[in-house]
Amino acid sequence: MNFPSLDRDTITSFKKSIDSGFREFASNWGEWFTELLSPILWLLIHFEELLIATPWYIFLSIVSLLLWKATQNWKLILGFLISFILIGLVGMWDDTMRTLAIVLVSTLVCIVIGIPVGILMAKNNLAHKIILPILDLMQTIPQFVYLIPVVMLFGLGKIPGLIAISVYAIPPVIRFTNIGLREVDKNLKETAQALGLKPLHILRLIELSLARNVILGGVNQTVMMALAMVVIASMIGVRGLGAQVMQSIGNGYLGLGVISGLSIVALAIIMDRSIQSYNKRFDKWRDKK
Amino acid sequence: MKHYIKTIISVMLITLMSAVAKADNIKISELNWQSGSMIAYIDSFIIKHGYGHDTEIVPGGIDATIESMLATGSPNIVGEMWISSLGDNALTALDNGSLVLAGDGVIQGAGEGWFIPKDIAEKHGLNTIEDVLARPDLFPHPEDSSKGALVTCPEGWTCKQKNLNLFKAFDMEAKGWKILEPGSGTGLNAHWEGSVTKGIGAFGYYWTPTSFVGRLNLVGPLSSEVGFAGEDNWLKCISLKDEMCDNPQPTQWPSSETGTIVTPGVDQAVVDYVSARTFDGSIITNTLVWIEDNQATAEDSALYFLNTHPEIWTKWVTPKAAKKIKASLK
Repeated sequence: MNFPSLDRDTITSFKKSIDSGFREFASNWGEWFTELLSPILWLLIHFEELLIATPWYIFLSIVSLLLWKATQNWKLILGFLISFILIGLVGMWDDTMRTLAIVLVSTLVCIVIGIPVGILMAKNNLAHKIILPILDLMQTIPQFVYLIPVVMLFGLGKIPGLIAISVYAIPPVIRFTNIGLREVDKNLKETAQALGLKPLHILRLIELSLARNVILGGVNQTVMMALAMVVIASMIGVRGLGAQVMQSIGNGYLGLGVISGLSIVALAIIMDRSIQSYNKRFDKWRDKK
Repeated sequence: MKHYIKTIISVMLITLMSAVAKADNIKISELNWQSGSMIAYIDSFIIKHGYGHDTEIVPGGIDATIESMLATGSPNIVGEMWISSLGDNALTALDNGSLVLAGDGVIQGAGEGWFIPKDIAEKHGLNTIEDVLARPDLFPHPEDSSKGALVTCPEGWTCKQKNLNLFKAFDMEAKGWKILEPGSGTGLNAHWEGSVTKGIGAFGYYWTPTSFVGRLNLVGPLSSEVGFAGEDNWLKCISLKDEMCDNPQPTQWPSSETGTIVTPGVDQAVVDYVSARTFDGSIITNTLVWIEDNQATAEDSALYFLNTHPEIWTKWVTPKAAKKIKASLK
């Protein structure tokens, strides 16, 4: 026996009203949203141009130096140099820079929005109850469902790509910030209060610094998820390694698929190990102290 | 003796009648896309009610239908066949007469090419590719508003190369244009939909007849002042990979020929009808929009067309047939 569903006309008109409602929204607010996000677009375009314009040897030296300061792990730096030289040799340098640019800017956006939201969740149980199902939704809704409306609002290219990536990649930062703050020992907070610290000071000096490890774990997850989304983002015109993967799928180029796919993997491993290594070093340093 | 003659005559009559009945049953191929399927139902209605033949609709794709026509002589009529998609054996069959091409312009102005929204075309008087290329400011690129954006095909579609080569052929970079890659079919549709909804200019690839073009009110494929610059340029340069096309010449996109193919031996009156049957592309698109709005079946859409556009279809048929069809529409 069939489920007693609504009749076809009702369902059709319901779907159509969603369509026309969204079209109206897009025509009234599309420009406004595009305008609102234009600073981020500016950042994306110029950061990408900068990364591509930087000569490869300068890029390698600067990043090596940064990695040394952050991790003091020479094996990691060696791994970074080898993989990026290989990426350059197979002709994926520019695309890797494009992908790096959008992943880093997306991660930045996720951190700037995600950590305050995580703090709000940890401090306020009502917010916790409301935000949690939203995060579940963001992580499980099929990306294509929101790709189309996002492109209708913002057009093709970087901004809709960044939004698609961020929607998918922001939940870990929020979740981990929330968990990290909730795990901080209550006695410590009370002691701080007794010593006369203001709530903002407690948050900054005690809670956030104790939760730092957990939060960085969340950031790491966010970076990985952002990288995983670059292929989907290339479906709405984001250039870079993802577009190369799409091209290889579309044309059946196995070789290109392997090369571009492995470049994404290399990028992911390097970023993951760098954050972990930084985190570990910070731990050791704190333990010694 | 009389008795014998009676039997012989009645046997002959029965044989003749069954033969007539057999030839009378015209099988019409219903192609598996919106307009192909609608044309099949229009043919069926007109042939049945106007010319008094029994008709039968046979669903199928291009290749299967042609193979079946060659092997078994059935279906008898295929309404909207894209000539460029015919294989070699179909072309030989057309040459040696085992299949007949009745009418080669079923849908006028069908094909792929470059489109723009109609309101922008009218407001600024843009009629040709050259008109559009002179105004990159009307079609701003989302990442560099000082440049105009040409929306190309998604990766992996054969039209991708044509777009890139034509971009070079029209020297568009020097004219202030930049490629905008849609990334996928989804991206392409969403881009057109979003631009038109927001009233922003958009210029680039799409194809017709589609309900999409009708719903969004796009015009195209745009023609060029240079016209179609020859098969050689198109097939041996524009359609190839860009490294194999050193010197692309500007050209408009070739229009796609759509023909009606019939098997030999179909009633000449019916062949005359299908040869005369041509649709303007915009009529087809409008009907496709109606289908989408009403979630209608192909049969509904055929009746809708016959009811709303008698001025078009009465020209295809004899006055006598027209009268009969009108009577059965009521």
